[in-house]
Parts: sequence; C-alpha cells; structure tokens
Amino acid sequence: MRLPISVLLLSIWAILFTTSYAEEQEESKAGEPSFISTEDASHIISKSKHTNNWAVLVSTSRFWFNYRHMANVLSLYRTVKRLGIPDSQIILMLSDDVACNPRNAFPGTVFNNMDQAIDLYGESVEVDYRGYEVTVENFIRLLTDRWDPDHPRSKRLLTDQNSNIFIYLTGHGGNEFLKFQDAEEIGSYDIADAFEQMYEKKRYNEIFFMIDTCQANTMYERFYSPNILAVGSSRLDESSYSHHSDMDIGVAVIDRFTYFTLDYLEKIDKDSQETIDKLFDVYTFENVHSNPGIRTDLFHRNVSEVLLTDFFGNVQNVVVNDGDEDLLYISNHDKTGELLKFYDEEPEEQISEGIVNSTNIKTSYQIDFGVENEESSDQIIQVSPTLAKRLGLGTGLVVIGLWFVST
Amino acid sequence: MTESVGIRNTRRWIIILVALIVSGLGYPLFLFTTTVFRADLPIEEIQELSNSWQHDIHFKIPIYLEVPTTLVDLVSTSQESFDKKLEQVYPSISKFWSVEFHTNVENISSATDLVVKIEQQTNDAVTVESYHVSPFDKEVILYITDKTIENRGLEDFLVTILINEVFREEIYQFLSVTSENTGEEGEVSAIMPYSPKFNIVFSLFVENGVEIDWEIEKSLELFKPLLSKLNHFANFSLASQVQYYSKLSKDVKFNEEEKTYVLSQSDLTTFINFGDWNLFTHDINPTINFIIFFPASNYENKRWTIEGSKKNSFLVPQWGGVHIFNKDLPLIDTSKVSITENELTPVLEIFSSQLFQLLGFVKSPKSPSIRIDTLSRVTTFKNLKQTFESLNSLIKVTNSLTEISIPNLTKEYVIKSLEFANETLSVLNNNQDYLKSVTLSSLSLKNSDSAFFEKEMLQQAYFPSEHKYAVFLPLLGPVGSIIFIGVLKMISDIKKERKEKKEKVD
Repeated sequence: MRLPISVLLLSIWAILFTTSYAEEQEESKAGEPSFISTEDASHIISKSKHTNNWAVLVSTSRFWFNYRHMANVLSLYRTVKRLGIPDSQIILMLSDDVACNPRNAFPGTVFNNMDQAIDLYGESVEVDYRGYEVTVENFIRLLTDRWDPDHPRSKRLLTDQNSNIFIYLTGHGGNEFLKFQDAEEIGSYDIADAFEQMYEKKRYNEIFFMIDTCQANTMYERFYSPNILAVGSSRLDESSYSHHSDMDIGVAVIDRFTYFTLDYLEKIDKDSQETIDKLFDVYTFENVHSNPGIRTDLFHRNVSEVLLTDFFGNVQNVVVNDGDEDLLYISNHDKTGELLKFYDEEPEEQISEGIVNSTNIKTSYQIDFGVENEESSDQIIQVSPTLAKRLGLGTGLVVIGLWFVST
Repeated sequence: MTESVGIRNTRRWIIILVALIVSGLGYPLFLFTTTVFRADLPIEEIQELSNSWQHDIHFKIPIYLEVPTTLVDLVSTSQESFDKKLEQVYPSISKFWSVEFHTNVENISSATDLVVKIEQQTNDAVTVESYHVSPFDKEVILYITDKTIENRGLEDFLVTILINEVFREEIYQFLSVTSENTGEEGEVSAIMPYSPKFNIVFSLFVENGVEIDWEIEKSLELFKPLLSKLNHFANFSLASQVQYYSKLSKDVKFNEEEKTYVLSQSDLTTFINFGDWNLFTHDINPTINFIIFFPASNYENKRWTIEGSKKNSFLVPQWGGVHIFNKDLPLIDTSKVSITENELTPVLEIFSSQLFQLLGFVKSPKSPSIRIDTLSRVTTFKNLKQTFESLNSLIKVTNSLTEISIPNLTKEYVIKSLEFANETLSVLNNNQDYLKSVTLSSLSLKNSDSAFFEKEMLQQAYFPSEHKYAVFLPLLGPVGSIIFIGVLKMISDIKKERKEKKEKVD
C-alpha cells in the first residue's frame, strides 16, 4: 500500500511542477515581455545622463550573396528610426548593391523575412556612406570625427559627452578582425583605440556595441575605455549563422543573432520601460546556434537597470517649468517703458580666427584655369582674352589647313 | 683546391662591405619608410599653463558706489568686509573671483557698469532696510535708514545683498564648474554645448492641412535686440518654417471632465516626432529649435494642456522648446487662419526665457544685462577649462598611441590655442573686459578642437611590427639570407684557421 501512495504523491508533485513550469515557459516563451508599470520601473531603472541618441549601423560586405548583411542593417535602421532616433543622428554605412541588383527577383526591395511583409528599402532610407565609401578609413574617421572642414553634417557623428551611441557592425569576420568589402579589414585594436580617442575627447556618455559576424566576440575583447557595453554573436572559432533563406530571393535573408534581436525589439515602444537584460535573455544557444558574448566590465551600470530606450530610442528628458516672465519686454524697453532702438552693430575689431595663411592649409576648391575667370590672379597661364581669341582662331585655321592638305 | 691568401682576403672584404652597405642603407631606409611623422607638441607649455591658469585668472568685477556725501569712506571699508566675508563663506571662489568697489565717477552709467546706489530714507516710518535690483539695467538700489549707519551695519548690508542676492547664482555656477565631481546624482544639464554660432529655428507644426498665416517675421524683430546683446557671446541666425500634416507619434488622452486634451509628463518625452517632422538638421552649427504646435482640435474649440505648465510649454534640454498653441476664438473650417503678432508675442516671451535656460543664463537677478555679464564670465572660465582639457587629452592620446601621426598643423593649432588662452587671461586680468574675453576664449577652444580633430591625425589602421616585417620579407629574404649565410661561413672559416694555426704552433 505504501508504494502506491508514494507513487501518487510523486505524480502529483510531478504534475504540479510541470504545470507551473509550463506556465513559466508560456510567459517567457512567447518572448512576450512581461511589462511592468512606469512607477515600478522608476524604482529599478538607473538614470543614464544622456540627452541625445545616435546610431552607427554598418554592413561591411558587398555582393548579392551577402544579401542578409544588408537586410540586417536595414532592419536595425528601421527599428531605431521607429523607436525615435532622428535620421540626422543615424549614420548608415552599407554597400547598397542588392536592392537594384540584376539578380534581385523583386527589384528595388530588400526583405528580412520570407513572408516579405516589410520592404526595408521602402521609404526614406538615408544612406550616409554607400558602396566604395564603406572603408576602414571612413569608419575610423567617423568615430574620431577627423574630416575636412566641409564634410556635411549628416555624414558626421557629432556627439558630445551627453550622447549615447549604438554601434552595430555586421559582415564577415575572423579572429580579431572584420573584413570590409573584400578589400581590407579592421582589427579589434583599431576599434579599441578609436573608442579611447572618443573617450578622451568626451565624445560619448555610453556606447552599446553590437557585432554580428563569425568569431564576433573577439572584436570587443581589446576595448579598454569605460562605459562601453558590448555584445557579439559568437565565440572564437565559432561561426555565426543565418536564420533562414527565402526561396524566391534565393539567398539567406537574415542572420540568427540579428533576427532574435529584432524579434525582441519589435515589441518595444518608444517610451518602453524594458531593461536591456531582457534582450540579452533571448541570446541563447538554442536561438542563435552559437555562443553569444556580453561584456559588461567596462560598463558602470547594472544591465538589469539599463533601459533599452537608452540606446535604441530617443526618450528626451523634458523640463516643464514656466521660466521667467517678460524677458523679451525687459530686453526691448528701458526703465521708462520706451522701446529701445536697435542698430545692427558692426563688431569693432576683427580677431583673426586661428591659422589662416598657413601654407599647410589647402587652398584647393578653387578652379584656377579658364579664360572667363578674369578675377582670379591664380591663373596658370597668363593670357589676355584677345590673345586667347587669336590663338584659338590660328589653331582653327591650322586644323582646317591640315584637313585640306590631307584630302 | 686551395685559395691564395690575397684572394681569400679580398673575398672577405667583399662580404664585409656588402653586409655593411646593405645594413647601412637598408636599416635607415626601413626606418624611413615605416615611421610615422610626429611633430613635437609643446607639451611642457601646455602642462604648465593648464596647471597655472586657474591661479592666474582673476575676476575683479568693478562696482561703482553712488553714496551720499556723508559716507565717503564706505568704499574702502566695504571692500575689506566683502573680501573677508567671501573668504569665509566661499574660500575656493575667493581665490579668483572678487569685486572691486569704486566711487561713482561722472561718466559711469548703469547701462554699462554695475552701479550700487545708496539712498537714505528720511521718512521715520521706514525702519527696515530694503533693496531693489533694476531689471532694465545694472543698477542696485539700497534703501537704508539712519539706524543702519549708526550701527555701522551698512557694509554688512551691502556685502550681504551682493553675495546672497546679486551674485548668488554666479557663485553657485562657479562652484559647480570648479568642483571636480560632475554631479553624479545631478540632473542632466539643459545648457547647449558652447558653440560660437547657433541657428535658431522657429517652426510652426500644424496638425492638419488648413493653411495658416503667422506674422513671425514681424515678431522676430522683437527677438533681435535680445540677440544683439549676445553678439560677443555667439552669432545667431534666425529662421522660420511652417509645416502641415504634422502628426504626433501617438494619440493624446482626452479629459472628458475638462473637455481638454491633456499631455502628461511621460507623453512629452516622445512628443517630438523625429521620424516624420522635417526639422532643421543640415547645418554644421548647432540648432536651437523652437516649436509651436497647432493642434487640429483648435477647429473643434477643444484646448490642449500640458500637465504642470501654466504656459502650455516645455523645454527639451540641449535641444529647444515647445509650445502648444490654443486659439482662443473658435475657428471656422477651411478658412485661412492667422496667428497675429499679438498672439505670438507671449509665445516669444516663453521662448526667450527658454533660450536663456538653454544658453546657460543664471536664474537671478532678473536684469538681462547683469545676467549677460555673469554668462560671459562663466563661459570664459568654462571655455578655458575645456580648452585645457582637450589639449591634455591630445597629449594623452598621442602618448598612448605611438603609431598615430601628429601633423604640423596640429602643432600650429595647439600654439594658436595657447596664444589665445594667454590673451584671454591678459585681457581679463588687465582690463576686466568680459565681452572680449569670451570671444578670445572661444577662439582658444576652437583651435584646441581643431588640433584634436585635424584630418591628417589618423591612426590609419593598426600596423603591428609583424605587418611591417611581412611587407619587407620578400626583400629581406633573398638578399638578407645570402649575406647572413656568407657572413656565418666566413666566421666559421676564420675560426677553423685559427684552430689549425694553434695546432701547428703546438
């Protein structure tokens, strides 16, 4: 009689256990983030002291069969834009050669899923560096902001000490390097040194570095500057895999690591209170088929207190206060209430702004040839217009003469 | 086959000569092709100045006292008690910041210089001292009674008013600038990072497509005197735009009881629709955005309110300000609406107050003239601090990255930056010219930034020594190995000979 009772107890326990486990599974399985109220969240969340968000999204490969890398980057572009980062603060670098590739069965489109629900190449995609502009040099220049003075604002990373930057790289990589378009490669030391220069010049508040390549985790191991959170898709000697192929397109359309990242971010709103460790929870071996890595030792906050929107969104702190009254009136009137007269004052003296006449500064951007450009004294050949006309006439006659001689 | 001694010696000489030529020419060539150019930065000068400037800088704000003839010695006594009190309460500030009292000279006007007027109340009913800071110029009036003078309390009163009221915010700003910890718990600063040029863009975002006429150009005339007072601080360019069909990214709750749409604090954090709204972003100089949002519900005569704001406006730190515009009169659909100058003026009042916050003005006293002086002083200090921070980080970076090149231009920018820094200090210490010192310090800052961000200073790619050897190996291999083996063989030959000689001798 004893045995059946114990068996019965055991089975009851087993049933209870499995159901409760199943419930848990159900909660977490769907990836359905268990949302908490804003008030609860405010107790948990630690404040990031940033006022603006930037994103740098780079696909380093080109050619048709690397379709998925472009889809990766365009999907993240779409996501960070949806979450509120303005286009002017997203730097998008990609070879941009698959949408209009002759092999593309759906010209002018890029999809990241075989259901072809979202055309990533649809509306207002602002590519900042395309094709052969995606180079190691440009990437390092972008991070350290070393450009010609006339480099356009939209192609620069104009961050300051209040900026949170999300950096995403995808392509083909190996042990401590990432290949740029089959031509060159960037080493882990290069990125680490660039970050150090950014840190020294106070160009960021926090960086979230994400990389999806083979042996991705080796890329962030050389970092040594503070406040960088890094994740990679696979360990040393491991490959990163693609998620699935679209038979109509004929190639893989997205990588696993990026797929699960996007899958999670898709459920996030602009002002979500989700923390970043929930995103890390989906990076399992079962999902990604490699061992994703997370590096937190340089990061001063606990990942369970860091909001996803600190990097993927653009939640702005606002100040609601009514400020001063009548400032404009005071500025425009004097004591007696009379309107002040306003003159366009000329500055009394001009202070020369640094190095102007240095021989080192390029005096290019000036076309210094041509007959019409009479104002320019830098003409290579000093020819008066009348002489030029005569010479032209003479040359014409000689040519005509030659033509007669030859016939 | 034996070799004659002469030929053997010639052969050895040839080997030695070839080895010498190859190594003597090759090594310098190798160095020449693999080293990166590094200009000598004036490191010592930077370090010296960055250690000393905080001791060398002296703010001595001139204050002109206008006193009744009976109180002529007030100038010296109040100077004494001011210095004493400041030293007592803010010892760290008193090292570089103080005031200097003068008697009022004829041609001093309160429009340009800080004047303290002391008025003796003859009315016996008034027994308490009071003061008044004029909002229109730089004038402080102290109303005192006979008793104040009898008790020798006039200096105390004057010093207290100056330290605790007129210069309170300025002292706090200097305290926060000089303190090392940047406020771990502190709020995010609303102040825009300093730039010598700013764009100010006024945008009218209309929720629907009904045409609106706004008299912004007329109204902006009001803004210009304010900005002209800031000429020395930075240049401002004004622009305005109207955009239609500017939807919010999410719906706003309607409060049935009050018949208004209510924006809560959490709605505001994502209020600005960066995805759809065409904001002014293409200029290289930073932009201060002022947005007037015109909701479509104005046509249904339903108002919008922002929770906690009387003026229906809020400030986005380091970005700009937003005001939600409610039209007071009901509107008729499809007819052209206009926002008049009279309606815009209060909005511009709000924006100018927000502009003051964004540029880092102190909150009190009210007078813009006094505040502008304070801003100039604090900005000069901040700019110099930042200049030396970036010059020091330049040194740190170039020292730690041994492979990075340092172009001559960087050096020139550094020297220029130091020159401007020195000039700022001399203008400040000799003339107390706050307007000029801001301009000079901003140039110093600009040059230090240019030095750091010089285009040629790029660690092109990480080249470890192995890379260099790999490049030179095709050259080194064939030439080097033959010479190396030749030398080895020669040495072993010499050794062998000596051994044989020894054996013969034995």
